[in-house]
Amino acid sequence: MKKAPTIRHHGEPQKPAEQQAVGIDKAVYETDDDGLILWMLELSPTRRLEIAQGFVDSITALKNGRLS
Amino acid sequence: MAASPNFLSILKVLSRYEVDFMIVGGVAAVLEGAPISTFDLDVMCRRNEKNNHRLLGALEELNARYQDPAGRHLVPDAVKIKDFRFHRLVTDEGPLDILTEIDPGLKYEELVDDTVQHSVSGMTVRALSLQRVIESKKSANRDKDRAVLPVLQRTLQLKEPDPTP
Repeated sequence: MKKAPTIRHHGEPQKPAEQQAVGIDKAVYETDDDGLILWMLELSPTRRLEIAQGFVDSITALKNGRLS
Repeated sequence: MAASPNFLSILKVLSRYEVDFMIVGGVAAVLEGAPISTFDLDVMCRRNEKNNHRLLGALEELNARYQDPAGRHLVPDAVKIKDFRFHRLVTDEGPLDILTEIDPGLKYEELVDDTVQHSVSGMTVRALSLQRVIESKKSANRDKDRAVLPVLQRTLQLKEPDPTP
């Protein structure tokens, strides 16, 4: 028998959009990071790399004082 | 010189020169789906004459030189590529670390079966599996490794199908 999803995410009852994105079987929120991890897992490797690059670029811009 | 890495640009040059390499460390974990941030592009290359030659060509195009605390202008050459165990480089596309082994003392040939091929912007790149990244970070056991372990381990759990029926 399939285990029922357990949702433990700062007391929020559910995350409908993320559940739809990953399928109900994966909608098991046991840590605060789960929503972000499941979102990342849905992306292509190219998009994952773009996100990592975006973080690097943002921090670099902040360090260089280009963002206010 | 770029102070931060342009991951894709560096990977494209290595790929264009047909360097036999694998991505390890944080970027490998990102490609495997872990939502972590990293400023380091770490790669391991197969060590043989043909691949060393290809690597040198790529590094020349990237205008790679060693990060030297004394400020000397040291560039990779055939002897250094063959003999050095660790190459901490800066390039026109940002920093690049080339390792010949990762914790706990594993070399390219011992790790290549534990890699995953990813399609990234039209090229295929090889990256260390998330399980192996976790093991290497456990083994390295630095503060920055320990800090990301919970997210890496949870990512692995969520990636793998539930074995219970």
